[in-house]
Amino acid sequence: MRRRFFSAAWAYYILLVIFLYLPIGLLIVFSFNDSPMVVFPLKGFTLKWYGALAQAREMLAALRNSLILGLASSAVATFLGTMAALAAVRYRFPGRGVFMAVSAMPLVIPYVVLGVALLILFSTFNIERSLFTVGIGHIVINIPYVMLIVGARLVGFPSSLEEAAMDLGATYWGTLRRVTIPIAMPAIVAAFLTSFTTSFDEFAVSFFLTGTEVTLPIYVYSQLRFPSRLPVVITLSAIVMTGSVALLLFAESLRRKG
Amino acid sequence: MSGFSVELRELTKVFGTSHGPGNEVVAVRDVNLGIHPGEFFTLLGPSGCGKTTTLRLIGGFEMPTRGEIFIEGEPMSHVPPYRRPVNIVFQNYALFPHLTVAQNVAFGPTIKGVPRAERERRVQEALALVRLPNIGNRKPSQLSGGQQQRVALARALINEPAVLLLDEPLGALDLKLRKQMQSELKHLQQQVGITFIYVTHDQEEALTMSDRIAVMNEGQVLQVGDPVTIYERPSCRFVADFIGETNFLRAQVVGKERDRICLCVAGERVWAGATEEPLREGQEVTLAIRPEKIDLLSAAQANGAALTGVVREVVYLGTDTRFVVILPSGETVVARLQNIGGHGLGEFAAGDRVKLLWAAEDARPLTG
Repeated sequence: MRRRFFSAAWAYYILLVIFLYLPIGLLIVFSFNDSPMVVFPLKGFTLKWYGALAQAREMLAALRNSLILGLASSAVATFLGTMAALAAVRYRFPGRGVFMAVSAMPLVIPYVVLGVALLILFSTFNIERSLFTVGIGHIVINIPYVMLIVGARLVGFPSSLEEAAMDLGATYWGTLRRVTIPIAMPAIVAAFLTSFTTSFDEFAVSFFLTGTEVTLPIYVYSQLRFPSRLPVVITLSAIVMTGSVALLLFAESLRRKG
Repeated sequence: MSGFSVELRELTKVFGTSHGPGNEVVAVRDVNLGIHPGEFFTLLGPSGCGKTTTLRLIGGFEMPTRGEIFIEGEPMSHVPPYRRPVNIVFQNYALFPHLTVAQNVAFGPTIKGVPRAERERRVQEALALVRLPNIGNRKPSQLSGGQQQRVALARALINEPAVLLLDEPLGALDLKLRKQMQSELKHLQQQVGITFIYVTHDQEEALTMSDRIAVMNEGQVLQVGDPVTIYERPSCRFVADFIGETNFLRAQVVGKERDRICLCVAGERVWAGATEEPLREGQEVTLAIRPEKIDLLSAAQANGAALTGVVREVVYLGTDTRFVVILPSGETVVARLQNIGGHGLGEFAAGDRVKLLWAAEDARPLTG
């Protein structure tokens, strides 16, 4: 009975892994396939799509936009989220529960709704859509993630460490700089990297808020109408995929190290 | 000038709860204490008695609801922790995990901007003081509990505080190490001459180390005195019960002499020492007598003022033997006799009728 259960569980797990990773594996395989058609059988090995990628100026501009957007919005989200986590974890103040709930709200609001809401907000105030407005959207999305990651770390270390620092002569800011932030640093870095990857592949909010400068996911989506460009898109996706996985593994190892 | 190192005047701390008024907890109630410079002063009491809150009030981690704290004559209510001339050793040591031992110890001097060379010299001195040289480059997580304890001490003492606060610092150590650290701490205190305010729930620890002890319960200080006074002349039933073992017997005042009082216990007349408090004839009191102050004689042998009872239980404990005796009133009395001269060797057995005797000054009538 037990054994049958375990073999069923294993079969389930293997299926899961196949469904999850087979498409990604295919992506990488086709990025080396010597044919503009994305069909089996494979035609032969080539690096020409990688070469073509270097010539795809619009795509590289979109990539650059996404990188800038990701770095800037993650930096701001990490800063704000860390501050919010400090307040939420370390202080008991009136309305703390409401503060926590409101801060976590973007986690449960569909991004489409958030995108439309922000679009209405920006057009009400006549703010022109640009990478800046997309950045605002990404900051809103990422603050709760940062709060959760950094907050978990802060909960994990006793407040007597901060009291000890103050007892030894450190002011509030001195304590923050010399004790709290250094101890929370692995979580802060992990939160930044998580925010970055979220921002980098976010589509819905970006789609509503973007102006003339498109982000990479939006550009990729727009290119799907042209079959001839598909192999280059696939190649770029393979590179991005590899980079994202590397980044997430790095973030996770940092989080665990702490 | 009071001349006290630390003085607490009507110190009161009320913790509110999130459930609104009416649910407040009075952690510390009208505490008045004067602690002398260079004194090893212990706050002793069961958990939740307010001793740690009192310590945290002195350290500045809690704000008093009422009353005032003076450190070296200066009022402290509006002085933040980082400007108070005190340092604290936390129960969990609170060493900074991201810094090395040397960086931990150097934390205070670094903040105060002490130049590097002098800082390093003082770190060496402080680590030598707690007998932990040569571990400066390690991280706190690589140290044993006892070593972490010493590093926490060094980190506090390097700042040369006027007062060192210690919050159950030996609580997490095993018994043998605790004993060793007790005598080390006491020697250290005498060596550096700093006022120590020590919080513990361990009465033996308090008796061994302290110059004076304040016994606390339910936020109040019940008695302040040196260990001998606290043990030999407890002011109330709680103190007598919390420190050591005590028999409590219902008694009535029958008569008074110059330095002793005659009491009626279980229908028999016995003597107790005189108290500061005046007692009147006929007054109901509680007679407190420690097990080791009682002597047992066989019922036939003794005459004079003594209680008579029947031995119910005999427990041999090595250095002494513990006898549980039932009085005619149904009350039980515990007596501990040292195992010399045959007490432990079957002199009395369960069922024997015995007389319980004591010197008058060893028994105390308590009204509270």
